[in-house]
Amino acid sequence: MSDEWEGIKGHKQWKAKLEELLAEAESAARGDDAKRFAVSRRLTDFILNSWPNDKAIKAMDEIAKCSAQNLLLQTVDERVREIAGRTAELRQLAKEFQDLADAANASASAIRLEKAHRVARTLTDSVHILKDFRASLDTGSDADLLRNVEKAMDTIQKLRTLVEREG
Amino acid sequence: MHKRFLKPFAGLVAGLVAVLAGCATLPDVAPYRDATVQLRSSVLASGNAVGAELRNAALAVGDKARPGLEERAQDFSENWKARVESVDALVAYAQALADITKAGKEGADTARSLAGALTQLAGGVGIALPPAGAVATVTDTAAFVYAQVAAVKASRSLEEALVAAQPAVNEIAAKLGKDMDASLALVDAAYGLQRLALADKYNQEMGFLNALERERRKLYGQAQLSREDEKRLKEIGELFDSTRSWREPMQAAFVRLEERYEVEREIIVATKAAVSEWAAAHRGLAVAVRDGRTINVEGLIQATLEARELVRRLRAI
Repeated sequence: MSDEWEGIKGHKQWKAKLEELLAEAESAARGDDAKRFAVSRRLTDFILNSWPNDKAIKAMDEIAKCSAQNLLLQTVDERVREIAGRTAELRQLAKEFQDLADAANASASAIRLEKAHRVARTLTDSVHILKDFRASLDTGSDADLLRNVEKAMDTIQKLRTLVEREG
Repeated sequence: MHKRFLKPFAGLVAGLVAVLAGCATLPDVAPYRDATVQLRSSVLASGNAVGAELRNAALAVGDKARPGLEERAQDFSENWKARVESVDALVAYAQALADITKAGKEGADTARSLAGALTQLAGGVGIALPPAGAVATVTDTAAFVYAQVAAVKASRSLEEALVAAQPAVNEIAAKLGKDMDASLALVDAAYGLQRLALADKYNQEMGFLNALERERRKLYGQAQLSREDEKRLKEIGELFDSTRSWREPMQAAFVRLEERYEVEREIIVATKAAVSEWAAAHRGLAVAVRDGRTINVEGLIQATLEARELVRRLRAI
């Protein structure tokens, strides 16, 4: 129990205390969050300490409660609005970091010689397929020939795409 | 054949090694990446804590204030998604930095792998290769040279990436820092609203207990206790005991609220510190790459570990 509530007796004194707190709440509403929290805490403590809990005191408690609640809700409104106000900028920054990550990934890929690996792999595959094609010209059935022609066409298409993409 | 084949390379290799040696010491970026992943968890946990407290507050306040507060809780959670997305991008960025370093350190393997692919290709098209021993020696030499080249390329790429990112790092750290301050205010407000609701709910009981406590202190404050005073003190003690059935759940409700509030506050404070350490570590990383020094991310690791421990404690409550 805080000293602030010691010695307060009777409706008159509790009413005077409430009026003092309401005046501070009015000023805190125009102030910063810390001031609002301090006053709302004292208003809450007023509810816990005011005594006896008769009709008059309960009416005062209700006023204290509304005042404390309004101060806290005001902070909630303002801080959520503040956070929402930065969201678009943060989305933009996220995009920027994704671009930076893409650029860094491209660098890592270049150091790993991934293009050269891809070209070598595709060329090797192409050579094998074209060899099969040549063999089927001599020995294969019409169906084999047709299938290998399709594979060869596909391979040439892939090679063309790779050359276009890798520059 | 073997020696004749290698001869033209000897001078080139020696020259390259002389130029490259000592130019590229790659720092270990993996701890920075790991700490960035942990930072993401802390930002997520902070947002979850604030969202949950706002919803708890909405349940605690009266019917009149509830819809507005629920709406604010929803707004907050929606907007916090952008914070999580932004730290997702930071994780992708840190992972890419670690990949550059890894690629730079694995230059020899890269060269060997490419040599293997080219040997296969040569075999496929029927190009006659030198004897296996000569090919192996050339591959080893190429691997050695490319190990140095890759390290230099990685060092340069890393430095370029870090320098390019620094302004965005400063900006995002400042914005997330402000978000953490606002989150702290929201948790404080949500706690205040719940404490107020508990005070309102237990007003009668608290008033009774406070009155008993006041009377007991007044009696103990007297110079001498009369027989009547002693009798009254005994009655007060019995009255206290009789309140146990509702007093203990009431006190437990206040204690639970306080405990959760303290840990949530600490998580947000720790996350703010981790964001600040993350930006500082990024600056340190850029300097380390430029000067070829090792980096110290101990502060960042400590900050993120602290946040992780707090998240664990919060889950336990």
